[in-house]
Order: sequence, then structure tokens, then C-alpha cells
Amino acid sequence: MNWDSVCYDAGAFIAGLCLLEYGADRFIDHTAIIARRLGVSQTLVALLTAGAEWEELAVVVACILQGRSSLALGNVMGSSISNILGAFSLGLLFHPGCVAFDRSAKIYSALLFLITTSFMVVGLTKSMGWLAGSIFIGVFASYLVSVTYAIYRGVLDRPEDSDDSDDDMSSESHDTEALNGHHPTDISPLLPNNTSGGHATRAQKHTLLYHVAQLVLGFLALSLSGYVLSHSAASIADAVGLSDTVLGVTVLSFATTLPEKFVAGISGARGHGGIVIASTAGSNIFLLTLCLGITLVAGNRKDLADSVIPFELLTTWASSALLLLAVFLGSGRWVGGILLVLYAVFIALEFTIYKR
Amino acid sequence: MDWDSICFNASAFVTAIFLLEFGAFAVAVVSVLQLVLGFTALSTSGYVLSHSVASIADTLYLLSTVLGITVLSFATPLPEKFVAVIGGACG
Repeated sequence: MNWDSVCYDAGAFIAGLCLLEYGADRFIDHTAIIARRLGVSQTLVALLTAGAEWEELAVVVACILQGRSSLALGNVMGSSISNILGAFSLGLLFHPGCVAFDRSAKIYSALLFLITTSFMVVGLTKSMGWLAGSIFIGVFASYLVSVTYAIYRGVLDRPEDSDDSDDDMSSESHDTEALNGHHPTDISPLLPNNTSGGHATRAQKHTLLYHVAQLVLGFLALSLSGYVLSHSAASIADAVGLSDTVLGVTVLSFATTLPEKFVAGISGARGHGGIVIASTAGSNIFLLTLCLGITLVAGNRKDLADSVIPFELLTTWASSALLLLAVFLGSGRWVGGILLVLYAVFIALEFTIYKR
Repeated sequence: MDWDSICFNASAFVTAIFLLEFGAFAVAVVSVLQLVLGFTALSTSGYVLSHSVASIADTLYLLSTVLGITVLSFATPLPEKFVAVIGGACG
């Protein structure tokens, strides 16, 4: 056993945890601020930022290039289960009091449920070809366009405190509305209102660009820490002499989903329910449309059809149904606890009965 | 050339810089627990920094003294500079 390299990896792992905390902190705070400035819901902004799972996409592409498309499919299903049962539950558990979800959270969790249902139908009927794959990719493209459009217009819903959204964009649009819609009368104050409001907010706060830069910094920190964590965890497990399967199922999947769990837990503790649901629903939509679509288009069809295990397929579907219920009925801490217990049961079943 | 190990060492280096910052902040606080935490963070980050620089130097066939003088001294205060630049540029 090489003590020097084990110590080094352990040190890198601790440093990775610290970077993760730093990144998640930046990420959550500035997502909330940017959403309030733009006058759109936190859920929408977080869908684009927290929902992008580039490292999962990289894993899927690497698996396909090595000709192991069943591994790619297993990774997609495993991560989407762990996102709901493992990360979303932590967010609920740390959230103070009852969580109330806004309208866009409901819309996108319903969309996730539809996508998961169609994935289950495709998987159970064994009709996994390039046609189904390209449909999934098309769904992802339209989803991306719809979220971007909704942020651009800020129409899907407005947060309660939309008063302080006097930044450049919204005040400009108000101006043009006022000019086009109705002619200025004696009563409507044109200049005084706008200038005073603008100066007051400008004096207290940073510009929008500053918050976007901080958000990007947080995002980079999160990605980097994910890489360092999984790499160091894998080499520690390697040095200790764990077997390949145990390594893949426990250590690696735990270490790669650590960032999601951190983001969910911290944003739950700070009362940002919108970010919790968006990070879960957004990641799963990303996984089950783009990553799955690429797997189906480029993967080996026979290999895929053989590798589908009904148990995992049903668990993926059931967990997204539970997410939908939790979002629509509203949920407290006890729901998070139940989901976490279900996650433990799922992992135990994977190890004992459905051993691979 | 072992790209995997270079990537990992470089990332561990960047990561350790953040741990260093964290440790420096924690040491500046009065509480005893934070002080202990800060010293642990500082020593861990120092170990990881030196180890990653040495590994990179090994793989690139450079003298670790040269790399230590240039890269280490240049990169360690980077986060502070970065924050200052962002703050200054964006108000």
C-alpha cells in the first residue's frame, strides 16, 4: 500500500469538499439574486444553471466510445434515481418549515413525469432505436428553448417582491410599454419615479454582470470539485483494494453526486425551495432527454435491449411520480425523511437481490 | 505523457488554493474550534499544494524548485486578486 499517494488523495478529497462548499455557496446566493433582479422565478434560472449535468454527459459519451452502451444507460438511470431520492430528499429535510412550490416548479416536474413515463414505455417495449433517441433529443431542444424564452419574457410567474427588479432591462421595457401603449398624461409621472428608483437600487447593489460572473465562478468551482472528488475517491478505493463493482456502485456514484446533494441541502437550509426542485427536475430532464437520446442514437441496439432491468426502470418511474406528488401536494420534512429511507432501501436491494 | 495524472494534479492544486483561503479566513477568527479547523485546513492545503507541484514537475521533467518558485508563488494569492478584479470592474 502506497501511503504517500493515499495521503495525497485524502488531502485532495478534503480540499475538494471545501471547494464544493465554496462553489455551492456562491452558486445558490447569486442564482437567487439574479432571479430577483430579472423578475423571473428562481426555479427557471436554476433549471438552466443547476440542471446542466455536463459531467454526466461526459461519462455517457466516454462509455459509448468504449462500446459499453449498457453502462451508459445504467449510469443515466442510477443518477436520475439518486437525484430524486438522494438529493431532493436532503433539500426537503434541511428546509425550515413547509415547502411551497411555485407554478414553474409544478410545470417542470409534470414535464419530468411525462418524459419518465415515455422512457419507461420505450424501455419496456424494447423499441430503443435511433428514432426514439432522436425524439428525446428533440424534446430536450424544445425544453431548452422554452426555458430560455420564459426567462427572457419573465412571464411564467413573478416573485412577490418584484418591486426591486428595477434593473436596466425591465425599466427599459416599462418605458417602451408606456410609450407605445398609452400617451403620457398629466397624471403619469415620467422621469421622477424612474430615476429615483434606479439610483436607490444602484447605490445599494452590484450590477447584474457582477452576479453573473460570481455565478459562473461558482459553477466552475462545482465542476472542478466534482472532478477532484470522484478522481481521489476512486484512487483511494483502488489503493485500499476494493473490487470494481463495489467501487462503481458505492464510492464513485456517491462521490459524483455529492455536488447535487450539497446544492440541494444548502439551498434547502436557506429556504430557497425553488432551487431545490429546479436542481432535481432540471438534472433529471437533462439526463433523460439529452443523455438518454445520445445513448439510444449512438449505442448498440441489441446491447441496450438486453441490459434493461425492469426493477430499475420502475424505480426511476416511481421516484419521479413521488417527486410529482411531493411538488403538487406540498411537503414538509417528513416527506424528505421517507424519500431518504426509500433511497437506502433501493441501494440495499441493488446490493443483495439485483446484484450485478 | 500521462494526461490523467497531470489533469488531476493541476485540479488538486487549484482546489488546494481554495482550502488555503478557507484556512486563512478561519485562523483570523477568534473561536478556538475555528482556529483548530483553520490550522488543519492550512496544513492540508500546504501538503496538497507541494505534492501536486512536485508531481507535475516530475511528469513534465522540470525541476520542482523552478516550478515552486514560479507557479506556486504566482498562483497562491490568485483568488484574492480575482475577487478584487471582479469587484473593481463591476462596481
